[in-house]
Amino acid sequence: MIRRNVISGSVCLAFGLFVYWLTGQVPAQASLDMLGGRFFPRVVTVLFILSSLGLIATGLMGIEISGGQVGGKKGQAAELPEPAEPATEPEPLVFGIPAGTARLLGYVVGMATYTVILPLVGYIVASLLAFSGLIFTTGERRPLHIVSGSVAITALLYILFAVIFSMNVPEASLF
Amino acid sequence: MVDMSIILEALLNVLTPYTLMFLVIGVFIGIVAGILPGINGAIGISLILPFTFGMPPATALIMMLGLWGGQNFGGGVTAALVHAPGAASGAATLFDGYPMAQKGQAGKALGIICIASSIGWFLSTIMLAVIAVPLAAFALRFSAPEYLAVGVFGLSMVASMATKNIFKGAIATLFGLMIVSVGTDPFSGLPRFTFGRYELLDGISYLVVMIGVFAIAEALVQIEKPAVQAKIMKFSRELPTWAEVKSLMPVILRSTGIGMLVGTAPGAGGSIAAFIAYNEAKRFSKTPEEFGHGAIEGVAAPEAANNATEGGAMVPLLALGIPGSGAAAVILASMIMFGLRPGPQIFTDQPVLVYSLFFGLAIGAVVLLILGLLLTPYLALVIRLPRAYLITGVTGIAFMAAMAITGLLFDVWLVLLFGVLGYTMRKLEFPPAPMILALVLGFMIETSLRRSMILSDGDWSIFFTRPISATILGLAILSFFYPIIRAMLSRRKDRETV
Repeated sequence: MIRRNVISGSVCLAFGLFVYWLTGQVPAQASLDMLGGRFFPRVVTVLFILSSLGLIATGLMGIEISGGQVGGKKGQAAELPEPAEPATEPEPLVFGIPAGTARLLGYVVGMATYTVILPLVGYIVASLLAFSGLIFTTGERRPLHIVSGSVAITALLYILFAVIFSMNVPEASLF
Repeated sequence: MVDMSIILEALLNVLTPYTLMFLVIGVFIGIVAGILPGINGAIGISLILPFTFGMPPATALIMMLGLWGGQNFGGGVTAALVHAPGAASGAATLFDGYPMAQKGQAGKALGIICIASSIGWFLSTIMLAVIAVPLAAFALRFSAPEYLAVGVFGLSMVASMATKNIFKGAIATLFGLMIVSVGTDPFSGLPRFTFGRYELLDGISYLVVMIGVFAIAEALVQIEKPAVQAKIMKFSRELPTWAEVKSLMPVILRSTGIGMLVGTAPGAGGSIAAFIAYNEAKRFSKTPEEFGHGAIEGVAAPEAANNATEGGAMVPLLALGIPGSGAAAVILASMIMFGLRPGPQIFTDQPVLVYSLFFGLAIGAVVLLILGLLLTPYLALVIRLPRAYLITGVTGIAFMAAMAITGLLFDVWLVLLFGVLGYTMRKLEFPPAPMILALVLGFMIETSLRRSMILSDGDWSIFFTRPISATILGLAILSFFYPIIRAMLSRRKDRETV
């Protein structure tokens, strides 16, 4: 059994069923257009559900059906060799979770916070704070490098996009 | 017969200092993007697209095409210098490019990469101009049923081709079509799946999805890995000799043909063409035992092929409105944003634009040759950029690009959401490219379907009584189900053998 495929297929199946239920709220037919706005999303959702069932079934059987032949063995796509990753020391845990996962979560939380504070404190302040956090999260620990990196990236982006390209950037609403 | 005045006007259009400047900038950004890990043509183009809104369409498109060509070269540079391709299309180059660099011939390797890439790109542009025009003339016979068939065919090819699991490809494609359904129904004007949010009335921009699924997802993948400073080989500045370049011409020409052919098939991109070309070069070589140890043919073949896919992918894009690759899908999206309608009509409605793109591509190949050879000694410096600043910079650009699209903060949230989704898809081996192609083609597919039913007064046989649409739909069904049937037969045979 390929557990990952069974689980992801099940999640997709549940999502497909939910969307199918949502399509019931879309008007069915208009006077000139016999299909209406509901038809296309419904067909897509049914095919989505069937594909999810296919993924679950093949996952339970432990097989993967690969697509087109590209110079590989008959019935299998060519294996494109992955470039070798350089060997690294295992990283210490951060608050009990793997360091990579901790960085990932830090990035997502940081960027979500960035989006929340953008309209409150404006683009420049929000970017200086968020980019500092992001540089720290990705592994830089020297305070001067963090601050100067954040300032440089914020300044570069602001000059390029807000000044040269005349883009509107969020302004502070708090002050 | 093409009007010479149109060709002349197109050439003069491209030869303005303004357009040439942006072409050079595009190629330069592409080279840098190709060198930087995780940034490919689709990501690079989707990041700069929002900032081209003020430009004339021809200039913007030529800049994007230049970026696309440049990044293929950039990917080969890191393959040779660092044993890690910056772009997937450079993966085959590391088999012989890196051993060449280890032998102290890095300058020669980069020179061959540059020359092969430029020639592959230039020749495929000529083939594009030769093939696209008659194909477009044929496609002028298309009506709504044919457009539906071509759209479905494009999606079925992408969903099934070069994916490890065909059901995952199908799910990704269909999810893209679901996203297309969000917004306003194109026929009735009623809101659909907007959940009361006015921001969703115009639907979800495919640019937002592209930036999230490509750029932010890649940043997440990179940030999860431990930081490793790339070890770069020292290199001499020696370039390949004229005799060596001449000896490579048969390999380059063959590989260009392979790249062109592979590029026309939706879903098959530069990396596939590069590997096929590498295998073929080894097969035809008089010294196949040298492959894997620094054979110059092993460097030239994949690079010529991966750059030739650009011209190949532009054939279905311009002639049929079907993108042949992820980067072509972004180009298609940008053409739509500029109010252009890719497909056979563009050859009659906008002939100057089309020929401007041909000339832009051809000149882009020359620009790549010059820039590549000039920049070769300095390209290694880009790789030294610490990961922390690279990821932060890309994230900053992605968020800026998201804000530029509609000015709504809602789109920034969507970019982050699709970034997380794209990361999850990568981890679970769901291919993102079919989803993006579905997003770009979905509107055309739905409207063609509903228009066809209006034309036929509700008679479904319209798709199977018109020979062109029937043939294309048949091929679409076959391309998707053939791997499944083949796998089932193969399992039955294995069981009988046991």
